[in-house]
Amino acid sequence: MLMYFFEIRQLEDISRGYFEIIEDYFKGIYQPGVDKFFQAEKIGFFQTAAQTILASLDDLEEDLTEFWKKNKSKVIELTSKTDFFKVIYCGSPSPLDGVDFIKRTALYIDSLLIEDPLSFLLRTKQVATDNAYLNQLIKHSFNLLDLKRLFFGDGNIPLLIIFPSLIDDEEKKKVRGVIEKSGDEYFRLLFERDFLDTEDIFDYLSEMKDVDQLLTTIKEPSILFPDILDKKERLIEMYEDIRESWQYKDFSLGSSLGYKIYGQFLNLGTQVFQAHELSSQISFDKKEYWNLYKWDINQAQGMNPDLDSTILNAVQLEEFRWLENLDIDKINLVRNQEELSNIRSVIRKNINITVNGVNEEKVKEQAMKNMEKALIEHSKRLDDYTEKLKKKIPIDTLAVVVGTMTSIPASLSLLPVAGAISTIYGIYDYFINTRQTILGKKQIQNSLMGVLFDANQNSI
Amino acid sequence: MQTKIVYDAEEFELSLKAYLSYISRKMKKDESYSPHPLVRAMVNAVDGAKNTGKPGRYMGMSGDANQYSDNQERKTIICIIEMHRDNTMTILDIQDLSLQKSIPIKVASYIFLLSIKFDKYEGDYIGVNEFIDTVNRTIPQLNIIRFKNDEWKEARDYLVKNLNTINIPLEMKKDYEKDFMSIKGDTEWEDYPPRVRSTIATIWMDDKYQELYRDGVMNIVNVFLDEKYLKTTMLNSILMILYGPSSKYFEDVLEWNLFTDLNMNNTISKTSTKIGRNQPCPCDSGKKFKKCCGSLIK
Repeated sequence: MLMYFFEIRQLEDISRGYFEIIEDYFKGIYQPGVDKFFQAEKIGFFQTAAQTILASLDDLEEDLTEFWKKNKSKVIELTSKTDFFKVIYCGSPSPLDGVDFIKRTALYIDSLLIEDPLSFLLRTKQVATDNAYLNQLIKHSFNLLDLKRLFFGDGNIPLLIIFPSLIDDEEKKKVRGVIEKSGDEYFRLLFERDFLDTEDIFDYLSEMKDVDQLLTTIKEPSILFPDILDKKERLIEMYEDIRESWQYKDFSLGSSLGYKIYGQFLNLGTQVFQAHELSSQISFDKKEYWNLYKWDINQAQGMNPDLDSTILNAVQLEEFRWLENLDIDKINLVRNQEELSNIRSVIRKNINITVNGVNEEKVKEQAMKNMEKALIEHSKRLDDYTEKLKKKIPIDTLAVVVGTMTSIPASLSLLPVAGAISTIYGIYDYFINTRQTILGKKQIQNSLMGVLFDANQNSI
Repeated sequence: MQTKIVYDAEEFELSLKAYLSYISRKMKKDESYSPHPLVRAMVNAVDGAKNTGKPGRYMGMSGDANQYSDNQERKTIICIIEMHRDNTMTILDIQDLSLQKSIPIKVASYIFLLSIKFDKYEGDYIGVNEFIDTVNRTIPQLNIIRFKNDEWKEARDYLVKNLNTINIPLEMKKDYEKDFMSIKGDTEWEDYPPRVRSTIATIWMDDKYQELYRDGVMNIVNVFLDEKYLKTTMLNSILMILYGPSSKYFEDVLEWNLFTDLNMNNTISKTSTKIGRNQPCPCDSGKKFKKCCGSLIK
């Protein structure tokens, strides 16, 4: 850990600078502990105040651009040179389930890398309505402020690391080329129809004005929102959502599906590119993204996601909901690279051999088994210590009391020096022995497995 | 259901917080940046409370003298607050001494928004078109229409033809007559008494440019002789429209709420005035209080 001391300090300094800017702009209206979704809606309700906040944020883009100009290369250097187990968050554009998502991943990763969501949102100003733009800015800035403490590891690797967009215009073009192929293939399969290019697809989609028309044209519904049963409702919701958020309203329901799918591919492509740049894995808080990712790498490369990605996604499933009981502050306090590495190997145990790391369902089952087993072992160790402590306290207390009683007269009359020393030693021995037992118990309680154990106990 | 006054108050609080963090960033970058006197008056009141460290009522005052080359102020604002034992404060009233009116809560929110929007234009001046665009976009109840100065002769002649259709309030008739009589055939448009200029412009625009008018709002025809004006002057002119002597429309139709409406049971204590007569005036004019804003209080 010590080898990364300076790197960690520097990364934390960058986070500190970043939060200084965020606080300069948002702390006045931020209320800790108040639901960010509610706050964002409420602020939008006050038209003049909302306009004032929007107008007051005009310099934010300049300040963030300036900040990242100074710190971008440092973040890349520090992040890519350290061999932390890093995972890039891919979603929209910061994990709004916030702490719950992070709790589910915190035990498996060293650091979650989040692309600066505010710089990302600032770029949407040109196309978003004022209301939607402000709503997003408020939600994500408040989310960052809620999560602020997790950007500082107190000597350990920070759980969260903020980084700027690493993709320049030239690379954007390349990514766009790749994702357009993915999108084209997606719609070719969805409609079982050959298209000339992306433009041809959008022309076709623009004719789909009605949700029933769209649904009856789709030939392969299994790839459209695979986890959603009511696809009609999902499509209408998606269309209304996009229309409400965009300044430009003149597009059909079919076109909105095009924007949605190509947009998701672009986000995926960008984060995969950035993950590669920072030698990290990728993680999603929305199943929709995970499904699209799996589908894409399967289509494009005939591959399945790797073991780590599969496990990271598995812990987002319902069966692992109890992980949300984790005490995130405690995790932040007790986590270190060695312990995290142990936990990872516990969770990974037997997965490679038995299931080859590809079958999501089996990975999930095995990971659960491994966690259960580890928790039982942990519970046993805890019981052992408790038993030892029970035995130790009465016996040692008695010995010391007796020793003290007998030694006092001796120390006062015949053997003052020796008696005094032996009394002190007696107390010292008692203290050290008992303390070691207590510390042993505390240590396993305060280990990452201990925090996990507490979370599991709380869910029962 | 939220009442309008609670809505206004919550909106003001949010706007104030946003404006305070905005000006603090501005001042970090530019030490000479001067926030609107309304906020300076509030800060002065809070400072007074902090300095004494006692709960009670405090008054802060500020003006815009530093915005003008002659160092004469056009706008003086006082803010009266109640500082509570738990260090929270209540705004009891914000008054515009120059217009001798309390500033409505909603207008105070508009002041913050307009101040920020005016800052987007470099320097101390704002162009007339930018001003109109900014105000019309910011205050939905207001529609400022610019009179086309190159049509003034046609507009003048049109008024002469339709003079009998104008309905001038009886109490103002004498003043109007005096102004009209002062005009001669060769009087230039710039030299027309403002009241006459405004009447000519309004009648002309009303009849010829109906498409510029909006329903359900206050349409105001303005004559601008210059292409740009001091931002402070323009902001003050908007405040004059919103709550000045001729703001009956807003008072009656929009039912502005005042800070005093929020604090009906509070009366402003005379002991709240903390500025000595011989102390420098807080409006930054450099004069003694008694010779400056203090004289307005009398």
